[in-house]
Amino acid sequence: MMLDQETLNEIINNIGLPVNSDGIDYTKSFSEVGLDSLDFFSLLSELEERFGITFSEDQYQSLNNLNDVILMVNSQGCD
Amino acid sequence: MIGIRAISTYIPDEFIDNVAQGRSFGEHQDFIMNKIGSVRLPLKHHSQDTSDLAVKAVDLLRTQHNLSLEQIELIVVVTQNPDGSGLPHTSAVVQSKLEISNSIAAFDISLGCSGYVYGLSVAKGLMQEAGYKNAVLITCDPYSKIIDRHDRVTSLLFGDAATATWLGESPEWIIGSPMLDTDGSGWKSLYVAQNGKLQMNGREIFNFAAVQVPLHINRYLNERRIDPKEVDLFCLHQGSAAIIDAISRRYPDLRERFLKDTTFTGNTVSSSIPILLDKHVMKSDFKRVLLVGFGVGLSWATNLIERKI
Repeated sequence: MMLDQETLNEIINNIGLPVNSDGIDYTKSFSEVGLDSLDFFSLLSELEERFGITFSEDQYQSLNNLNDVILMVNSQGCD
Repeated sequence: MIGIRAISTYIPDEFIDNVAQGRSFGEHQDFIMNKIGSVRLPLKHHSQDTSDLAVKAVDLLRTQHNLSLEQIELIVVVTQNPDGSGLPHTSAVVQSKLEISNSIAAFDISLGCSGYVYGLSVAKGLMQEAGYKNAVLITCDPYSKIIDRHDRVTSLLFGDAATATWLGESPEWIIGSPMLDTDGSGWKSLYVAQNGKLQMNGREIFNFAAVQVPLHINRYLNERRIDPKEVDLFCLHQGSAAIIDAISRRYPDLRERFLKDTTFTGNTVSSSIPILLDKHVMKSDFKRVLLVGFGVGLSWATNLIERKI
């Protein structure tokens, strides 16, 4: 299973993150789209659980926006 | 049968205004109230040591629940911030300050947020082995000793408190069999560095809690053939409001059964579960309450307590 914007929107809605998933700019920083550090932690743990992947500390540090998150999840060989 | 008879909580009067503290770190009030979940962080007086907080909690157990010092045969203190450098053990200092007779066993348990769940079973097991009728399990881990107030990651989370749990015969609550797990490879997620200050990787701790704790709860209940719906209340270590939300989200039909109450206490480490029990459970009509502690180590522990019929 690949992660696309539609699935990410669904996850964001399901875990109740405080952003309007209809109008997210995936290239803006997490804080610019309204995600604080704990929202970001929630999102990553949800993705790790759902896709059976693990974000290393280096990978985590390299994430700047939601597009990065999609690319990172899909680069981990989810099928 | 050995179980929980009563619990008392000591929370220092002094506190840090966490909204103001958050503002100093550039955090909005909503983040402090809704994500951290604590507007106040209780703070021990600088003249108080760990044993002083512990003695306060035991004194409350005496006055609130009529425990007499002569009854106590065992004192267990759960702490990783003991008096001095931890030698001697804080439980011995507590015994001295309470002026209890020498015919008493006393030892410390070095565990953090899983410590209360461990402590219940360790104390119960020793009481059964030695034939003790009354013991006091104390939790007291004042993180204010090791917090760097310039560190945003840890400053906003932890509060000081102490609890004392009376374990004895004819209990109100029966203690089940625990499930205890450890992953020492994660020790650097939360540890005291060489400068004596607490270091925490917030994401690693959050992720550990959000992923491992639901798995642990599920395994505990599955192995004992307990339907989650048969649990009246899920009493989890109160790491932060966001952590409780992340865990309870895994149980959409049962979310209202997950206690979340850190507004005036913060994360009090091993004291968070007994504080919840004292405030929300001991005088309630609940029958089955699941206790789940998790944190430094990494260490996590689950047990069920049931009201004695």
